[in-house]
Amino acid sequence: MRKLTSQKGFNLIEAMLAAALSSIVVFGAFLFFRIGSEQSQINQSLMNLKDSSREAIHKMVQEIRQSAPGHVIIEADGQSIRFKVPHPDHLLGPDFDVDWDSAHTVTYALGGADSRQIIRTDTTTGMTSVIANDITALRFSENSSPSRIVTITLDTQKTLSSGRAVPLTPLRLTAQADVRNP
Amino acid sequence: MKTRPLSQIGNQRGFVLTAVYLILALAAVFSVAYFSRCVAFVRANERNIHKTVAFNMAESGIDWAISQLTSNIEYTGTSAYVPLDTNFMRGGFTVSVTRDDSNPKIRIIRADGFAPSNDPAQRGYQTSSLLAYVQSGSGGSFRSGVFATDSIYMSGNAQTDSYDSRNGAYGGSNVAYNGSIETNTTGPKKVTLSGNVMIRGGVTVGPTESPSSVVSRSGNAMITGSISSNPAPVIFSDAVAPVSASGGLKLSGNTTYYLMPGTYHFTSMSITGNARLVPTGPVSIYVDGTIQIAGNGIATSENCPPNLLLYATGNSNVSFSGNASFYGAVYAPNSTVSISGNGSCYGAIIARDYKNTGNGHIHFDEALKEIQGGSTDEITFRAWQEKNTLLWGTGATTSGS
Repeated sequence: MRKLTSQKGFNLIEAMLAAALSSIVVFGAFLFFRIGSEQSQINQSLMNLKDSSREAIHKMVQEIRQSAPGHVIIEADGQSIRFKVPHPDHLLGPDFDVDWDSAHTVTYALGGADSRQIIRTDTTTGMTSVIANDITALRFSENSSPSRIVTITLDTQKTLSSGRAVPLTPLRLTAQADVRNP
Repeated sequence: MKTRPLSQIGNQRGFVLTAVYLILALAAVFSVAYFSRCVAFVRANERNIHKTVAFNMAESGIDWAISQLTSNIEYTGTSAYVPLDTNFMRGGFTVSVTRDDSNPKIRIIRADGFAPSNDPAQRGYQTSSLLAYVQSGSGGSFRSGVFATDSIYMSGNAQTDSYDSRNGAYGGSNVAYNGSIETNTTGPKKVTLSGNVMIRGGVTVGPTESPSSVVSRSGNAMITGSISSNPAPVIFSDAVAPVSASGGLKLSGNTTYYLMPGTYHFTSMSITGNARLVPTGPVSIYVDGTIQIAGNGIATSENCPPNLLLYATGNSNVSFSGNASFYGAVYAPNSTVSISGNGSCYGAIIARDYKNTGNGHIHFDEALKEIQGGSTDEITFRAWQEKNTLLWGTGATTSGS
C-alpha cells in the first residue's frame, strides 16, 4: 500500500492538458478523414460522371450511325434527334437496299427526373430507357441537312448530398456519328 | 526535479506507438482502396479506347475487302488475322467476303475488329463486328427514265413509262408505271411539265423540304406518282473513254454503217438524212463532241437498250430529232440532251439539262438499272450494320403507349 501511494500520478493540469491535446489530435484526424472522404466522393462522382457520359455517347453514336442521311431529323432547337434504325433481323429489302419499312424510329431527348436524364424512346415499340443521368444539356447538330455527320454534345454535372456541384462547371463531352447507310 | 535513468523510461507503457500503427493501418487501407479505384478507372478507360479501336479495325476490314473487290470483282474468301499495330494503338481484323446466293452481284462482307489483339486473354480485350452488303458492277446510274442534274423541260405530247427488256419487247403486260424523272436541282420550277406531258411514275428532285416548289405543271401535264426529294444529290462521274478516238462519225444520205460489237470512241457523231447506224451486237460508243441523231437513227441490236450505251465525254449537246425510235442508254451528265422528233426512246437518259419538245415517249428500260454509267465498275454500298448494338430492344414500355 505504501508502495502505491509513493507512486507519482498525473495532476489535474497534466490531465487537462493531455485531454486538450488529445482532442486537438482527434479533431485534426476527424477533419483529415472528412476532407479526404469528401474529396474521395468528389473524385468518385467525377469518375462515374465521365464513365457514364462516355458510355451514353458511345451508345448513341453506335445507334445513330446505323441510320442514313435522309432518315435523321434533328429538331429545330437541337435538343432532340429522331432517326430510323434498320431492324437487325431485317436489314435488307427484296431489292437489296436497306429495308426502311421495317426500321424502327428512335428518339433521344432530355427528360425524366428534373429533365436531367437522356431518354431513348423507340417510338415503333413504345419502349423507353434511360441512357444517362445528371445531364444538364444535350445538343445535336449537323453541318448541313441532310448530312452524314451528326455531332452530339452533352454537359454533365452532379450535385452531391452536401450541395456541392461536381464538377463546378459542367463537364462537356462531344462526339460525332457518321451515318453509314446509303 | 528528480531525473530518472533512461532504462526506466524504456519500461514505461505508452500508446503512441499503437496509435501510429493504427493511423498507418488506416492510411494503408485508404491508399489501397484509392489505388484500386484508380486501377479500375484506368482499366475502364482502356476498355473504352479498345472498344473504339476495335470498331475502327472492323471498318478497316470493310475497306480492305472493298479494295480486294475493286482489284478483283470475283473475290471471295476469308482473311487471316491482319494486325494493324502502331505505336499508339494495337489491334487488327479478320474479314470474309461471300457471294449472295440469290443475287450474284451482291457481296456480303463480315468484318471483325479486335483490340488490342485477337487473343481474348489480353487485358481490355474488345471486339466489334460489322456486316456490309455491297454490289459489284452495281450500276444504279440509270435508275429512272430521265435524270437531268440541272433541269428538265418537257412539253408537247411527251410521256414516260417503263418496261423491262429482259422480259421481252415493250407492250402488253410488259409495261409499268416506273417511268420516273429525277433531278438534283432544288431551284423553283426547274422541272417544267406542260402540254399533254404524262409522267407515269414519280418526280424526284434534289434534297429540299419542299420538292413541289421545284416542279411546275401547266396545261394537261400529269404525274401519276409522287413528287419527292432525294436525301442527297446524285453524283455522276465523267465518262472516260477506254479507247482512243478514231475521228468523227458522220453519216448522211442513205448510208448504212455497221458496227461490230465492242467499244468505240469518236470525236463527234452525226446521223442525218436516211442514214442508219447498225450495231451488230452490244456496243459502247464514247463521243467527245456533239451528238446529232436524226434520220433513221441507230438500229440497236435486238432492239435491246443495254446493247447500246452512248457516252458523252464532254459537255457538247446531244440531240435526237428523227422519227425513228432509239433503243439505248444515253450517259451525258455534263450535256444538254434535247429531243424534238416523234421517235420514242426505249432506255434511259442521263443529262445535265433535258429538253423534250417532241411527241416521242420515254420508255424506261428497268434492265438498265444493272448498267454502270461512266467507265468504272464501281463497288457500291447497299447496306451497313453494326452487330450486337447495345440499345436495340432495350427499355420498358411506358404506360398508355
